[in-house]
Amino acid sequence: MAESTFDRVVAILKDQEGLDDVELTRDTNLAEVGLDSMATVEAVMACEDEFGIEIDPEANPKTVGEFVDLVDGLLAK
Amino acid sequence: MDRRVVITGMGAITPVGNTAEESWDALVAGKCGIGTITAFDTTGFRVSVAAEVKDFDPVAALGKPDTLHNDRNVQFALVASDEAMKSSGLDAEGAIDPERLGVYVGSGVGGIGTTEAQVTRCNEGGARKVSPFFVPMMIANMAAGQVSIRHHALGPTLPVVTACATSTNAIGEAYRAIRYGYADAILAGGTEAAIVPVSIAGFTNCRALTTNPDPATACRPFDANRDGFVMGEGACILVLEELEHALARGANIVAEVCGYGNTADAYHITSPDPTACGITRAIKQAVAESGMDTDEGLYINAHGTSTKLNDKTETMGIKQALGEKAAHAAHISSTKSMTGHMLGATGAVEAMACACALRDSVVPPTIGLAEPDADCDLDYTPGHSVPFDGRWAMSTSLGFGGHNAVVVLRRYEGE
Repeated sequence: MAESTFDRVVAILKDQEGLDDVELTRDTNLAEVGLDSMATVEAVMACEDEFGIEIDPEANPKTVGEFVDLVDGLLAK
Repeated sequence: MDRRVVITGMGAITPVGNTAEESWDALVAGKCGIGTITAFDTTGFRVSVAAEVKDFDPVAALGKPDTLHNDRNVQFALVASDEAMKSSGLDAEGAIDPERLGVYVGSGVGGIGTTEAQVTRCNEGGARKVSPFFVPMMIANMAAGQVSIRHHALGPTLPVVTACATSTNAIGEAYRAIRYGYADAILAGGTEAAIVPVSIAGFTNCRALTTNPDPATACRPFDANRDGFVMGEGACILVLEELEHALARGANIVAEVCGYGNTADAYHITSPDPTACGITRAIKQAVAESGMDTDEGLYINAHGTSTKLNDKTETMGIKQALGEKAAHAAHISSTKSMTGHMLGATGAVEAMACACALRDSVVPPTIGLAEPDADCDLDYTPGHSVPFDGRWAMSTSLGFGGHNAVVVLRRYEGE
């Protein structure tokens, strides 16, 4: 079974931003687990590479769920 | 009250050792850190050797996020700063008022590896592929910024950028800042990580690097057959501290910093002034501030890059500044023969060598020096280290841009 978008986004966040030990759910607030605006941009860019999509450079997801929905929305197009 | 300044901590990661003491022991032993470049494929490059840091594991030392978000030069600086703070004892709770702790850590070329990687991303993938961390990872002041964050140093900060003179200027400026009351301790030094393709190509094409592929003879300062420097990398950070502050907390004192000179050649972007007047004046300034007697036993850790022009003009400058007699009596060596030229980090490594030479009464050698040059006729300590009973030492640094910086240290013999 293919990994869900959620799993793949979480893998990027854990790998790139040092969140290995943090439990991430759809409701996790990115700022609260230490992702500042630059790190969020970096994670967005990594998702562009991972999913082969282009995310609006001004996109600023606040939670893991918003992040996943942003990616899924673009994948559905 | 005259404030004196002493070295109470040292941290280093160099091509000959991954700590300060390991590096110093290797220098005394005459260990060469130069080898064939492993960092990238040198096919098509005229230069194939460098002095690389070995077995550096940034993830183990700093964790993954700090590794990913810091250029290699800043990684080196963070590791060296941890060691310096620990060895000084200033890492202990309450050991110093954070507002009295400063950071003077510079770099010659900053995050040039980051720049290279991100330029490639921009050219290949377009503007939107450039990392948001590109700018903070690339700028040459970020080692100082990150070191101050890591150690909560709220005092004066000054990331010097004077090419190969960077960390000698940093130590000199830190010495003055403490001496004149602006801080009680400063983490002073430099860092560099420039063994990347565009940097090696650029330094090759400005005819600074040797194209000799043999690691054993590539760097031979003051030798008649020298033909360029070998790129090194790493970091060195010293803890400079006001003497009374150090004594009050029972700190271990390595040596005293007591003089600083800083001049410009105002002559050429990469070549030293052939009359050596800039380095001559810098040495004279530092000696005058130190108050040392030039007839006393002296160790000079020379810039000694192994380029034709540097070693000749530096020798001339030493003679002009100290006089023929004192110049010939001095023990001189170029530890670049072992570490390569660590650019912005080199002056701090060499000041550390001066401090340790005074502490341990031994002068590290110039290795690779086999055939004397008529223009370089001083005692460069060829091949093997020698015992040293002198009371003072000097480190000289000359940088692209015509920067000359000199620091003078003396043996710490109690109050």
